[in-house]
Amino acid sequence: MFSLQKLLSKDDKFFDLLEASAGEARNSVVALNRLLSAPGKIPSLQDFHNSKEADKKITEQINVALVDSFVTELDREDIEMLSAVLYKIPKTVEKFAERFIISAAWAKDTDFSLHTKMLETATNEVVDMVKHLRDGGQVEEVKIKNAVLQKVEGDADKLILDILKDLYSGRHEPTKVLAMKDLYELLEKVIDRCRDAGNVITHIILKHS
Amino acid sequence: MFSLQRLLGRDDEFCALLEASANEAVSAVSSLRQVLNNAEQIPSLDAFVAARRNDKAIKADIADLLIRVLVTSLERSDIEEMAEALYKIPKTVEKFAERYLITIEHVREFDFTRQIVLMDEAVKSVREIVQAFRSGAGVSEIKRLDGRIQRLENDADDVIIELMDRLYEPGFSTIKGIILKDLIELNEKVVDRCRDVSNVIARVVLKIR
Repeated sequence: MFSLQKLLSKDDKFFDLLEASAGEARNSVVALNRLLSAPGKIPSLQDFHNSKEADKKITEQINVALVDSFVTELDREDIEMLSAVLYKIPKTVEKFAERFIISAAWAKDTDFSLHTKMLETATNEVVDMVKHLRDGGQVEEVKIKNAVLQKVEGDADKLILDILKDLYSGRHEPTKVLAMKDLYELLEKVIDRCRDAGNVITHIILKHS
Repeated sequence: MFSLQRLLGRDDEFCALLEASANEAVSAVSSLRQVLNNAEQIPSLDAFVAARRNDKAIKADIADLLIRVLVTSLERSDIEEMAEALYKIPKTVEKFAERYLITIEHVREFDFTRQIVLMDEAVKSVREIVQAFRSGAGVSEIKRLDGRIQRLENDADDVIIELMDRLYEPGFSTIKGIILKDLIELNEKVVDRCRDVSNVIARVVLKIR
C-alpha cells in the first residue's frame, strides 16, 4: 500500500545521516586539536583516517538513499551538496595530519592555540546548524550561527596573513617556510570547508522558510 | 495577475546583478594594475576590499532574489554557479594584493607586467561575455568570446612557466623564490577564475539557446 508517511519519513534518514556526517567532521577536529595541543608527540593517523572513512561511508549511504527515494523534503541537489562539503572537512583534516607528520621537525615547537579555538568553534557551529535542518524554520538562529562561521573564517584569513608576514620576513629557514606555509594553509582550508557547510545549510533553511 | 513579462523581467534582474559583479572584477584588476605600476609607493588595500565586499553584496542579492523568485527561465544552479565564479575573481585579486603588501620589500622589483596585461584582458572579456549573455547573444557569439578567454588562459599558463624559470635559476634567493611563486600562482588563478566564468556561461547558453 502506498504510504505518504513512509515516503516522507525517508527524510529522517537524510537528517540522521547528515548529522552523523557533521559529527564525524567534529570528531576529526577533536583529534586534530589533541594533536595541535601537543605538537611534540608523534601522532597516529588512525583517528583521522577512521573519521574520514566513516564520513565517506555516510556520504555513500546518502547517495544510495537519494537514488532509492522518489520524494524528499529537501531538494536532492542540496542534500548532495551538503553531504559533499561535510565530507571535505575530515578529508582536509586527514591531509593536514599526514603533512604534519612528515614536517614534525619544523612544526613541533609551534603554538597552534589560536587555530584550535577557531576549529572548535567552527565545527561546533556546523554540528548545531545541521541539527536545525530537522526542525526547519529557525531562520534567525541559523543566520546568527552562520555569521559566527563567517567571522571565524575572516579571522582565519587575517591570522594566516600575519603568519605569512613572519614566515616571509627572512628570519626562517626556507625549508621551514615551505613546510609551515603548507600546514597553515591546510588549517585555513578546514575552516573554509566549515564556512562552506554553513553557507549551504543557510541557503537550504532560507529556501524552506 | 500572472504576467509573463514580469516573469521574464526577473531574468534581466539576475543578469544585471551578474554584470555588476563582472564590473567589480574589472575594477579590482584595475586597482591592482595601479598598485603594480607604482611599486615605489606603499599600496593600500582599500580598493580591493571594497571591490570584494561589493561583489559579496551582489552575490547575496542574487541569493536573495533566487529565494524570492519562484520561476526563472535560467536554472537556479546555473545562476548560483555564475555568481560564485564571478565572486572568486576580486577575491583572488584581493588575496594577491594582501600577500604583495606584506612582501613588498622582497618583490618590489619583480616585473608582473605580462601577467597584469593578461588579467586585465581576461576580466574585460568576462564583462563582455556577461553583457552578451544578458543581451541574449546566440551560441556562435558566445563561443567566439569564450574562445578568446580560453586563449588568454593558455597564454597565462605559458607566462607562468617563463616566470617560474627565472625563480629556479641557480643563485636566485630561495625565500624570494617561495614568495614570488606564491604571487605568480595567485595571478594565474585570476585568469583561471575568468575562464571558469566563461565555461559556465558557454555551457548555459548551449543548454538554453
